[in-house]
Amino acid sequence: MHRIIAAIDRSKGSLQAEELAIRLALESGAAIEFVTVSQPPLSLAFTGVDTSFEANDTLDAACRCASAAGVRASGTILRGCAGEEIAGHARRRAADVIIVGPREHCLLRRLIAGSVSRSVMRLSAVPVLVAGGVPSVRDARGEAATAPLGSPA
Amino acid sequence: MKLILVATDGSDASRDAIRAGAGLAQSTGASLLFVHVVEGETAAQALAPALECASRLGVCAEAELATGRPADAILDLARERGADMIVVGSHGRGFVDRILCGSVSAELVKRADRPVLVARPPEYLPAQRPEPKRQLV
Repeated sequence: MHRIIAAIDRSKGSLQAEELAIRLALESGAAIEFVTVSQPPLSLAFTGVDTSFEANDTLDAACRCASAAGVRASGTILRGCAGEEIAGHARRRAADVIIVGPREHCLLRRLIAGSVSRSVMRLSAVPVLVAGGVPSVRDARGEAATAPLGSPA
Repeated sequence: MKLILVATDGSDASRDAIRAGAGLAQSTGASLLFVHVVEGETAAQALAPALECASRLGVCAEAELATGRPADAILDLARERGADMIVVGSHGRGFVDRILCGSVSAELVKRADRPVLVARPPEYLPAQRPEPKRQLV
């Protein structure tokens, strides 16, 4: 295993994806590329959450966490439809696996934003790892922020 | 990661799961537990290729038959054996499962209390997308 793509945002589920990616990278020697999707303006109108300026912070925090664990990590901001962009990016980068957080529990969020993890599973050419049941160190410290709509969860 | 549970049912999709699980075990040093939930005549055929694949890659593996509803049986075994991860194909053998794009896989993703890896067929090629506009290093 050489390259892990971990799709993240500011949700708690995303912290599980981050944690699992770091563990898997430590065990396999792979590098992590954290990706986050900046939502298009239409979704901003529906959700009231502007994710564009949050993306850098999200990626920086994840990369710092991975580096502290001794894992090579980089970050990429994608723009557009989350499922398509994440699946397409992983294929172009010849990733070995895409890691996403567990699906959003809030029905309203799922109805408006759809389930990104489900969309990635449908479109991806590489295996998709859904990080359910992974305790997150950062979540335990209370570092998770409010989940924006359209998260990878 | 110590133990990866791979669900098999003899379908093409479960061959993807066997390959993905074996590759992951090889990378991480984990052992494999192949499980086939018995529904009929294909039990032996479903597990033999899985064990051969693990053997070729030099991965420690065992196989087990289970009974009951596939998702329930897989989740119960994963808890009982303390599996760190469950690997499944994107859809199963049954007609309904194919039509529903993997009802067992979807149920496992929804209910599992541990990570679930959904394998994909190697020939699957989604449409081309443009490169990302920004990149951080």
